[in-house]
Amino acid sequence: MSSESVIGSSTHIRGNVSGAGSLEIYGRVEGDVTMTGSVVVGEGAIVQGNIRAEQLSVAGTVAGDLTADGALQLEPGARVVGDLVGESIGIAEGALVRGFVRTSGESPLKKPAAAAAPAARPAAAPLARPAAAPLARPVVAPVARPVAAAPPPRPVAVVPAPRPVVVAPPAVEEPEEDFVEEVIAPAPKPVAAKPAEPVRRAAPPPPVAPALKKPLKAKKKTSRDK
Amino acid sequence: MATVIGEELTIEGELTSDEEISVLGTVRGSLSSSDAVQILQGAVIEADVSGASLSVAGQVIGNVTAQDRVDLQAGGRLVGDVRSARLTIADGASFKGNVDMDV
Repeated sequence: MSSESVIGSSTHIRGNVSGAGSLEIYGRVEGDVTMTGSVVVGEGAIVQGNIRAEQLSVAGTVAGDLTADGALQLEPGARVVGDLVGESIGIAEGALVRGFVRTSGESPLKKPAAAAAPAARPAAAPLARPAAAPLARPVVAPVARPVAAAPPPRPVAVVPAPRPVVVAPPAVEEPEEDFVEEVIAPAPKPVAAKPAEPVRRAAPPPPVAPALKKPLKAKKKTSRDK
Repeated sequence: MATVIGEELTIEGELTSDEEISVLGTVRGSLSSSDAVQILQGAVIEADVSGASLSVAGQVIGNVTAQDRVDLQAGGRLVGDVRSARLTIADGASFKGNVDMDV
């Protein structure tokens, strides 16, 4: 009994609960529950907060993340809005879950994150690569860049990016020059032309508004003065 | 269903209940019940405590209020004011604080 704790059905805790041993919750907890032993969230219990335990069984309602170092079991009637992480996870029929479910161990989250990082690098890399490309990467680089990497850098680095690309083709073999010219050459021109026009168009408008207001007063004044 | 705060459990915050509470562990914040509250040996309460009746065999630092009675048992330690119609202090208990029986 000493290490067994019970939060009864008419008990309401607003704050964090932590400790060792087993804990059964039949009441309401607004706060995080952290136990090194087992936690049972009984039927009718409401927990608004994260629960972490060695063994975790839920038959009540939890709004928060559930983390179990061992088994995590959702019983029929359980309602969970939050992420589930456990070495082994059981969800019984009749349990309601809204959240991310993951069995721990080798985290699958790290792999997509590692895959996403290289995807971001090529966007920045082409700025530096074109100078080195003719020496070592004539074949692979031109093919890969126009497809995935080339578009992003152009609008960002307007002037520097196109130039190294244009310099690169002469060093590349002839058939590849055709591909490079066909794919890359047309792209920079419209891009360079489009920003130039809006800039010219964008520049006049500001003077137009004040020009209408001031000249009216100014013309009247000047006409009277003259 | 009674509430039991085990000896290895720590609650930091506000605990309210309408049922009997037995505390063997640690509570910091406040502890109140409309039923009996038992602070058992080994418990550490750093909170204001209120209940219908209250027995203290552990350690309480905080003000104590009971509708019915407060029993400070042998080995119990209470530092704080007591507000209750009835109060018993057993031999071997330690107590520091004011008593108000004029409820």
